[in-house]
Amino acid sequence: MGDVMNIGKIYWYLQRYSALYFLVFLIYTEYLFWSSQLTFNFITENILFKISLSFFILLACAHAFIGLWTVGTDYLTKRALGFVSKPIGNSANVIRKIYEVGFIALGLFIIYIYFSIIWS
Amino acid sequence: MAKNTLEINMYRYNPEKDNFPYMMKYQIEKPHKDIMVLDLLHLLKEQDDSISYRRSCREGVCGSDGMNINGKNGLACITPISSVVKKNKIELRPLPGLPVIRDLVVDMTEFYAQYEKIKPFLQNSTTAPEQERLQSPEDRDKLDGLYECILCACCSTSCPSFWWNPDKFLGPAALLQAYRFLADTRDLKTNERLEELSDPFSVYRCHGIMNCVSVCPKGLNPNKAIGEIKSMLLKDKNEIIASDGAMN
Repeated sequence: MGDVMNIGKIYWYLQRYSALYFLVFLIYTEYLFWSSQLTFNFITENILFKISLSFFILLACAHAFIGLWTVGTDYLTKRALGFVSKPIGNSANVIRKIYEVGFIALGLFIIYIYFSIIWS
Repeated sequence: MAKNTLEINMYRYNPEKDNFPYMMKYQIEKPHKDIMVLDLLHLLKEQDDSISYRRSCREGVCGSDGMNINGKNGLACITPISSVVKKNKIELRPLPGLPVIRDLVVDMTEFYAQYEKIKPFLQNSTTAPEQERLQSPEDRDKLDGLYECILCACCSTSCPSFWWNPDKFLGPAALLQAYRFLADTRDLKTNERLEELSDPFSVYRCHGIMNCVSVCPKGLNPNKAIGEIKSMLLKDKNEIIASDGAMN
């Protein structure tokens, strides 16, 4: 028997577990906010918060990557764009690749900016 | 429009004559008794014999006359006009998402190709018993709600994931049948079948919007079967091997 672990399963787990992490992180930050602990110094100095915020950013980008990849493979295909016009439909693969490179670059840029703020 | 007149707005397309599809209006005298949409089409055909549609058994068994009736997929032969007519109007379109051959007749090639992918037959390489492979009544019960599918394509063609990726996402009908064989204790290829379904498209493109359940003319629940497949896929592979062994 081959390995049942696969990319579909990884994406499925990543989306569900990241969503759970968002919930826990949101409750944690709400607690910090309402207990007046959420200050700029706390964000840049508390090591536990810095690590959990870094995980939040990484997981948010991974979560968004799967969602946007799904949107792209649904709507930026020869079939779907062919409804707009045939030439656009024929260029669907190129359009989708540009879109994918675009949101991956945006995700990496967001990670770079946030990590620079948190860890500098 | 007179009260005793029924207005039928019907999708028409003949690739030999028309550049584009169009909607055509017909008016017929309202039948004195409740008839099925298929009977209505027969009456229309008497008016205009160029109308094309599929039909065969006319009792909801063959699945030939699946179509979109007032925005919802269904079988024309078992859909009474009283349940769909609104303000004496009815709109008939072909099943959405599949290429139209002519009028209400669609090309089912993509739909059947997905059905073929799930290998819809028992796979058991052990020596066949003299008469038949027996099951316990409990194991046989697991197939109820699965084997009744007539492959009318009403479910798959109501599914947006199937509209966008009919070549990659198997669609509710094929997945219902995939689970029919995964749940069958006589089939020995559970793990191989699951591996075939493990990519990000075949099963995971189902987002559980339940259009398939809403339109199934046989009252089946493909969404539940897809959920069962996902549970099997997400199990640890050792659990699958263990349950596979226990099942067989």
